[in-house]
Amino acid sequence: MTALWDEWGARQPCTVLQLEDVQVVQIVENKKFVKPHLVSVQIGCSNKTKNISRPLLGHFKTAGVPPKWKLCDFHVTTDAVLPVGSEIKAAHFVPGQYIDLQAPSIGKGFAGVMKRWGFKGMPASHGTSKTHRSAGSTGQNQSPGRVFKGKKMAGRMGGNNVTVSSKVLKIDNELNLIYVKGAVPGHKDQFVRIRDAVKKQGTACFPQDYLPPPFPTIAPEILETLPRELIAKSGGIDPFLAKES
Amino acid sequence: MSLITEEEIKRQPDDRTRLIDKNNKDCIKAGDVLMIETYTNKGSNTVSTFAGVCISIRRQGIDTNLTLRNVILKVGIEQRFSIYSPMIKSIKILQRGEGFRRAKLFYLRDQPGKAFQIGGLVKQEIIKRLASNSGPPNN
Repeated sequence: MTALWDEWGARQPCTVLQLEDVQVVQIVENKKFVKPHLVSVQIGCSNKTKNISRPLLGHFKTAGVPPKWKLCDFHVTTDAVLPVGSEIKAAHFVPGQYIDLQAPSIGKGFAGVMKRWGFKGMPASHGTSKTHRSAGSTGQNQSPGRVFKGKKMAGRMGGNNVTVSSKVLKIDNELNLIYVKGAVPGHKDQFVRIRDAVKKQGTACFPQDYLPPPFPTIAPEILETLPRELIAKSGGIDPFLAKES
Repeated sequence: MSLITEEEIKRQPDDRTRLIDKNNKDCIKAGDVLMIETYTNKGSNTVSTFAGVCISIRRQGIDTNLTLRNVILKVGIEQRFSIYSPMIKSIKILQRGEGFRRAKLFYLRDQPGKAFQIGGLVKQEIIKRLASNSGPPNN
């Protein structure tokens, strides 16, 4: 995580994500459990050179694409489908666009009830014996006479998929980098799945000056003319100006 | 990551990097008394000043920041400045620290003593500026 300063001089914390050798690997129409009018596009990221199983090697050979570390599916409409082998560059996204980031969160192992659910524990002294961080009571008496399902208790925490809504702050076309606002779930050098924001439908997802967005992806002729860095504007009024009372 | 940090640092208009580069013999160290001038907002040229003892330098590439501590009207005040922020006009070392053997001087929060006699140094700085005809900084 680093920081960027916008046009008003305000600091914005950001995370740098890299689109490393992102290519379309497979296109499947009428896939099971996918809505009928949507096509499943499989995308691979980061080339892998060794320790690839024979079935996977064959899979990449039919696509004509170097073997990848990570594969994931996106369900898109038929007019958004890209040919197999086409590369997705950072300019596919637009600065100021709202996006969703999905990645497994950092695993915390078997976490106690104070860390996992924010319980307050018990006093450190005043007679408390050996239960300073425990949950205390887990229910009532003879009625209901059992512990309810879903009772908050200690257990494994973290390592599950987390979706975070965020915004693209800056795009680097030479190194294929996307600067994303705020924090991203997971460790450094982890694969993150990026998609357009689910909570912003249609054109609300993109800023006004970048409509229409690159569809299905940025055209190679336009990509050559783009400057190296595209920075999003924060817009609005200067946050450092005193408010008129 | 280091590549983009280096590029960003090269783009900076002045040579602030020499102030925090550890290999440089003139770099800022914890315990130095600094005076930092910041623009109040992007549009205007009005400047606000803060002077204090540097109690921590946090090196994070382009996000490198330092914390200054001063005691103003008997109230301890700490302020954190991001060195590569565009709102920072200048960083000036008023006095070098001597005898500080830690990287982070958070223990000074419990010691109200001699380290915080900064008012005299700021006055000297203002006199120097008046003498060189560039006008005093706005407070």
